[in-house]
Amino acid sequence: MKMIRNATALALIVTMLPLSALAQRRPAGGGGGARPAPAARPAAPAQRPAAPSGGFNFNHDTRPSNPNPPARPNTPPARPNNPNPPPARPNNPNPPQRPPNNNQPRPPNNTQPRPPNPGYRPPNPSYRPPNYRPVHSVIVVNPVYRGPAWGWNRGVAWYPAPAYWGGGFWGTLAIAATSAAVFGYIYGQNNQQIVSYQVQPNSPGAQMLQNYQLTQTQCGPPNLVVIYGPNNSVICAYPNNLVSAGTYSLDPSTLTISSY
Amino acid sequence: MHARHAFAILLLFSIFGALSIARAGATGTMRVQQSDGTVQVYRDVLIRVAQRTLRIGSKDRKGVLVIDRAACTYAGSVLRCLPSTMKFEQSGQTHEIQLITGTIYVNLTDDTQQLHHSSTQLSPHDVLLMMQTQRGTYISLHGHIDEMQP
Repeated sequence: MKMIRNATALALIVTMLPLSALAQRRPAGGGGGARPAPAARPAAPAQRPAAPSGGFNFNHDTRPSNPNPPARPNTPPARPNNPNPPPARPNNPNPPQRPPNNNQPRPPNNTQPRPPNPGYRPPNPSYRPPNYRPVHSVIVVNPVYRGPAWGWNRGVAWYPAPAYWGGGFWGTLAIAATSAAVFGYIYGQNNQQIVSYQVQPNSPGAQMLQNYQLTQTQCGPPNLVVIYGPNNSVICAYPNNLVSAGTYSLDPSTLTISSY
Repeated sequence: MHARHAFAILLLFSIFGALSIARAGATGTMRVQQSDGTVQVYRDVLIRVAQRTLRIGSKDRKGVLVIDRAACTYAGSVLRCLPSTMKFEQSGQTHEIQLITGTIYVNLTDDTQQLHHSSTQLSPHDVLLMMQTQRGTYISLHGHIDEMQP
């Protein structure tokens, strides 16, 4: 019986050993699992123990920015009246004469593709599909959105960067649902694999599809509407009476697609 | 004889228990540099991917960072996401933390992947992220995905 007691005690000590060793190696930092980094370099920034209540310390980012901002006057200070206002401009008695309208017939609009303007900047290469031929592209006017560039994003130019965030073009974070988020692949030139995303509701991509009354489908089968989007992405949809089967590039500023 | 058996069994249980504790721990390490230059390093953070969010939990499970908005694309075989906002849940409160810049790399494959234009390699199911908040806090994290739920 005594041996059993001894054995139990020994076993308990063995069980506690790794924990006590860990405890010795890791000084308690508020119980939050945080430990100060090794202070080997004297030039390293000062180490601060973790939040005393545990967890993470994001006090700088969670406290109100400025609880008591200085009050500003609602109205700007009045300007003193100019004692010597500039004299009024007299009406021009001899306005420049415009040349009379030339009744000669104008030359017809040149339907030939224009040579590229020297200052012309090609679209972002990331939006450019393989074999992109801007000369032959035909714009399919968005039947719903006719606003100014980036009007759908409240006038702010969108691209997938946090500073100009408008949401992911095709949707939100898609780490967890790779099988659902990835909607097949398209292989471009040099066998470059382009991922097709499942369009998430309320994303700019969903708005574009809705405008064109398109329904997304898995890429792969022939005779689909294939739309290349930002960051080497591509989505596929069934053709309809507005958009015929083919390959299209996307202008995200106007949510407009162009065939090529 | 019975006593010897009991001792052996207890010893086995205790060793097994100690090993289980060591293996169950998360391996992620998060470094937070505040705008005033102070640095906290949080080891053994838990990295969870669940319901389209990336959740980073403190070792004591008291604090969680939640990244739920990001634009993701594949850079080769590595998933690259640009997060926009982050939530911080702690002590029953949720704060939204605005980000200025940030990139998350996730290796969802079963092979080690090389990051483009970098000497960094990501082991299978590893996450690497760097972010800067609007208040000037730098956050970096490297670790293994501990839990993954679709």
